[in-house]
Amino acid sequence: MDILIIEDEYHAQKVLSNLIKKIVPEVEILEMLDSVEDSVDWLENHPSPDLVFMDIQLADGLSFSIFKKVEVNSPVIFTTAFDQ
Amino acid sequence: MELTAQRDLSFDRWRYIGFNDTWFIIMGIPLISLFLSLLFFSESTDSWQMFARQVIGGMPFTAMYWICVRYCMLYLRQKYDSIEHTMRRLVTIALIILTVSPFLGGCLNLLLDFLAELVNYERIYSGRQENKVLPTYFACFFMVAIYEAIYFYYQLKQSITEREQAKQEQIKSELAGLRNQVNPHFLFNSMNTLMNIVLEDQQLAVHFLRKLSKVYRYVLENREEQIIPLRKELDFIHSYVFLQKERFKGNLEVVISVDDSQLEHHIIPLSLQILFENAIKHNVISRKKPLKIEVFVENGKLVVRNNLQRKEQIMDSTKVGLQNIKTRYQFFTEESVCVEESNQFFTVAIPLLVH
Repeated sequence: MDILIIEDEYHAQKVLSNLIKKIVPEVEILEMLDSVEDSVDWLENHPSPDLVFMDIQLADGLSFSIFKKVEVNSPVIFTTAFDQ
Repeated sequence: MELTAQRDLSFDRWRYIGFNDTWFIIMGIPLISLFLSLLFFSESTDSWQMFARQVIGGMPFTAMYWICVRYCMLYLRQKYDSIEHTMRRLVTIALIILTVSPFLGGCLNLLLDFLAELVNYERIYSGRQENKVLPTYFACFFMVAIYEAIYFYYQLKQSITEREQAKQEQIKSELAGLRNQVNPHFLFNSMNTLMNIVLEDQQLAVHFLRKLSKVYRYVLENREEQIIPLRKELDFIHSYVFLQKERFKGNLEVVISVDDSQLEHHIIPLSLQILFENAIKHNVISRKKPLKIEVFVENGKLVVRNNLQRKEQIMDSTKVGLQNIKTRYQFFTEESVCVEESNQFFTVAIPLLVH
């Protein structure tokens, strides 16, 4: 199972990836990205992963804008402390 | 252009007098003439017609003394502007009056004699010609006293208003400070980071909490201070940066290079923190685009500079923090807070205060 993590905070990345690895040991975390720009870039140039974990508040804006710039064909789980 | 210049000048004059004295002069000249005639010349005049002529004859003298005294006072007030120089100002004007006024009076007397002769008019004299220097002094010092009293009252009122304003500003900035500095987002973000750290590394979590409490203690203890040594603020900033770096890791780089000799200078508490917070709030901080904040001293000012990579989102409460710093600095120094924005950098320079 190939997973992409989009999350801008180091500790949150770590917690999330450890948690995923613990639950699904055979998982492969393809990449951890921290900005809209990088994510769009990555999604354009790679085949769709099986699952995307996505924070909402990223380093350069809201992750929602990723969907406006690139077609995302993977299921997405939002992981956020964002309250709105 | 000329009009505004003129208006500025008259405004300036009012500031040094304390009020608009046009009517005061118009009413004052006949009144003082009357008063002096009553005081010094009433026994030497035998009819009310004589007395009236005496009053009217005194008016050019009163007017001349008034104009001269007023001019001298204005000049001296501009020259010795501050309250500490009041004594020097008064002594100078007294000396001028004692030495110059009898001479001026004499000149005007001769001139009036000459004019009266031209039109064949008989001037009246108040018998005791030699005594004229006394009413002159009396008139001049009387004018000085009135103007000084009004000026003193004006300055007093002015300083009370200023102090009131300063207090108001202080309260306002404290409020704004509370809104800005104990930014709920900062606490929220820190808690969030802490939550993740707790799961991973308890040792680090304790360290993080300690720094967090240090930050809040500083905010609580010093937000009412007007100024604070740079050393203290930097010490606090190190804790603040530690917390932020746990959030952003290597994507946030902070370089503080301030010489030890500068540490006893003062700044306004939390001003550095506001600038850091602004930089962090308004800029992209990512692996590809790390944010670098530099702090150094240049030309007697503390400079905070970061590479400019604005977030696209429109941020609310922009410039409140910066405006707050500018307003508060105005109370302590003539030097301004400089804000500079280029393509690459956003730079703010705040004055270092000598305590």
